[in-house]
Amino acid sequence: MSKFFSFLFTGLVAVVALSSFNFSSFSTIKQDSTFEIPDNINAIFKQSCFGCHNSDSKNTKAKDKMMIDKLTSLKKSKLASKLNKIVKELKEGEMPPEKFAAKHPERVPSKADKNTLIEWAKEAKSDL
Amino acid sequence: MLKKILAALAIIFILIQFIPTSLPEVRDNNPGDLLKNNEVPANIVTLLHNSCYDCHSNETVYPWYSYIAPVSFLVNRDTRKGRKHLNFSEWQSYSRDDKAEALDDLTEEVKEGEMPMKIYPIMHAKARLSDEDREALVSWAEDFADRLYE
Repeated sequence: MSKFFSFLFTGLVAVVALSSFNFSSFSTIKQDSTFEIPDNINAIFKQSCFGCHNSDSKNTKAKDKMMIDKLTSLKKSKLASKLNKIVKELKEGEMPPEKFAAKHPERVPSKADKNTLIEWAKEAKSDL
Repeated sequence: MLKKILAALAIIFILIQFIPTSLPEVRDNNPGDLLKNNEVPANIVTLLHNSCYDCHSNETVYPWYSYIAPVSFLVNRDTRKGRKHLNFSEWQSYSRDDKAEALDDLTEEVKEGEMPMKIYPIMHAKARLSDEDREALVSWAEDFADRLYE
């Protein structure tokens, strides 16, 4: 019986050892995208957009449209779509929504910040 | 009393027929159409035609009742809105990113069951999408979008 347990134990140790092996190097190879969000852009996102557009958001409509924290893990075609939306919505003044802006005027991006976002998104999508 | 209400409704029905509504124009010759310029599998062509093209192309087929108010108001609005969001007849004039966005939206809306709009398949049995149809459309759209960026 003790033989059986020691066998079980070695098996368990082997499984734990294998599963803790670091596979992260493999996944970084798979993700060959060089897409990163610069700090100044992230700051504007955080200030004005992230509150609704994040993967833990309770605002499902906003969440379904875009999750800013997931942007860097999207494949090219999806990322292009999201960046395209950023440009359009900001240009047309659709975002942030009027109701939100009225409630949180301090979160509305300045004209300059909006332009910074638009120019960044345009550039980023042209690189895809 | 009931008679009066019915009479009033009948009068309203007749009167609203005189409110001018011009349904969006139908054009059959669309050189920039998605299906004319791209290789799309036959089953997808059928799905797009049956479930999407009435509102998302210039080839709208208007049933007789779509000329009668108040249905005409609905059809008018939905067709205009549909074409504005995505018009497959003008696909070739879209930028690559606009195409990607349209295909991204298509996958979301079809997956979530938001498209076709609930009211549409009631009168258009052919437009009803099975789960398999939805999967087929979504995977075609994903694939098509990916190929734009290869």
